[in-house]
Amino acid sequence: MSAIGSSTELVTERFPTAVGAVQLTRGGDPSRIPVVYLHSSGGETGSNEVAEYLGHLAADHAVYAPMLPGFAGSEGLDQIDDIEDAVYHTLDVFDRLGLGANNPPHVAGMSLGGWLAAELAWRHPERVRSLTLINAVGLYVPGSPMSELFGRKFDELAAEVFADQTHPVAAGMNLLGSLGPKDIAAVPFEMVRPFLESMAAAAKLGWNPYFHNPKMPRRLGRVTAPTLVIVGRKDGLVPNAVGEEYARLIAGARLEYVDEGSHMLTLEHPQVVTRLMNDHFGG
Amino acid sequence: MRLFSFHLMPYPGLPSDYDGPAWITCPNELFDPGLGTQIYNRYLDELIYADELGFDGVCVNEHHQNAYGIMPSPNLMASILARQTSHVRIAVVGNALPLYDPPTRVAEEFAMIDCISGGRLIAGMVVGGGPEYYSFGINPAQARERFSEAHDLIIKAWTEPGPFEFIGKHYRIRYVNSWPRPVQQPHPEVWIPGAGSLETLEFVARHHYAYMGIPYFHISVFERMFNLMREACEKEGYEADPLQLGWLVPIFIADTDEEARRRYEKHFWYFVKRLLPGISISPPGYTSIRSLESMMKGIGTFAEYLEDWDEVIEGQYAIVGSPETVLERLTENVERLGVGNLLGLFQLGTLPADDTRRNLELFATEVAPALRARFPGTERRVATGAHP
Repeated sequence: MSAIGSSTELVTERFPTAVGAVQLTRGGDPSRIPVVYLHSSGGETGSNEVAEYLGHLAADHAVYAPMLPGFAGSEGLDQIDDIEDAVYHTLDVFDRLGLGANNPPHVAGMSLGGWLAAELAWRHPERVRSLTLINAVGLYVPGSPMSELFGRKFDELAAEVFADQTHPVAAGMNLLGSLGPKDIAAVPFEMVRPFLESMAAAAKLGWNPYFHNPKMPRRLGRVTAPTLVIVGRKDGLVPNAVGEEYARLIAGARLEYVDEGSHMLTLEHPQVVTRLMNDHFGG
Repeated sequence: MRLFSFHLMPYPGLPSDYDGPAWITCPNELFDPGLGTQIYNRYLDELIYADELGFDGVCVNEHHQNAYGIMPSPNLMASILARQTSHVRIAVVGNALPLYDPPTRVAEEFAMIDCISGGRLIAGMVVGGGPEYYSFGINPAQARERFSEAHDLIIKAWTEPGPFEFIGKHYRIRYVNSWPRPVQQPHPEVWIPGAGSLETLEFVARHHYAYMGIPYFHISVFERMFNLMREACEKEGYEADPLQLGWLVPIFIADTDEEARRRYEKHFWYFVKRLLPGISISPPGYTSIRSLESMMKGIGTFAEYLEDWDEVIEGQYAIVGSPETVLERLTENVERLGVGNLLGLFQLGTLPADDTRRNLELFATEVAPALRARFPGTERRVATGAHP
């Protein structure tokens, strides 16, 4: 086994699915136990932002990070109207990767991806070897509403989702947020296109109900996968109460806090998340 | 050309210490119902006065949960105007179709207004503003497909014998059988307002409807928008009729240029600095990426970001001056834009009643006759509704 901290080469490719070609990043020995990472509304597997995190995982596993339709040029958004469509699209990806019930992957998801992972785990428990929810959305906790994702200024959003404003992604968002309307018009469109596309795709799943499935609380009892819930204490977008509620509703779930972590944990604390996940896989 | 008086029905009473947006989150505690009683009645009087002054039409529109325009139901206003005016076309510009569920409600209410007015309705249909998707919880990523499906349902309800079944993606009604039916056959003239989204332009061109350019941008943005509209019509295999294009612009006339600016400027700034903030929010998926890329070019010229009066005049954000100046500028721009409908905003922001009435009078007597003589023609070459 490789030590934590080493990383393995990742390959990004176009991958055919029933709704069209999607972007897929893969790495590690394909004969190892598979791990699937489901991304957040930020569409972070579309760049090198989570390469370190996925690389750590790939040291000991076959790692797959598919991009949902609408993100990073993945096709088929016209056939995705809600989280259920996203679940069945993801099962299609699993099937095509050979991740059937005889070879179920560890499934980890951050934020939107965590919601998708949870939906998958209660609908098809046999397809999920273990479940890791990282600052997942998907549950509404009365009294603890999620902050607004849509229509925010870049810098305001960066303050809510990053603990360290000097992180390269946070710094880029702060730069865009500092521009006046006349300067924005001068920004090359290719710089903002991925963000606009990601938000449009996320809106299809999470506009209303706002990033939750009202039926989720009475479904989570069906989850059989060993579950790890990871929560960033400094998450300004999704209240910690959501992760705590997941941990309460999923039988046997383990809850771990990252004290210095905000929302984008796989970007800011790839080593911490990987260590927690490897512990979880091993136990 | 056809001359319309458009009223936004702005809320003039935002307190001076409130500097937040006028949309979505503008606290409704700031609305004074007593002031509401005064201004609704005053604004209706101003539209009725346009009828008496011989305008071709009046326009109302729909916005929700904001101080910019307090007409959540333009159909209520239009139904009053249907009774209290006798000549003008009544343009509802428009009903935000995705906000009506089921949209057969629009077919019914528009047909009622058309019946009551004896066939004077212009049926405006609009996707709805960005803020409305926050205020209604409707998914903006489905705005265009909902709009398109609702439009098909409404036109079908007006033109095909009922009852019939309508099974769409968003609307499923087993018995569509709209009563009443509109007076104008096969259906009232349809107007679509837009801010330059390519999908809207293509939709309007495909259906041979009329496109009303949403204002508050530099005149060059309008020029580009109407050129795109003419190109879209060409792609559909026909030449756009000027009466398929409408230019919406604030107009203020006084005896001299100096007096006009003196009386008008502060009311204009109330409008752009107090009522526009928040209007331009574009929720995710509401505008396609290709349209965003196209519209991004004009965004820096949005009126909210204006800083001084010279910019206002240079960019033709408002046409302000003596009757001679206003006539000259309108003539220039109507030629430049190639539009056949002029939609004047004769009341704006906090502009008081007496200034608004005098503005309407000066326009009707000193400007309108010359414009009509210079740009004759008030009927579409091919009647609307004669197309699929």
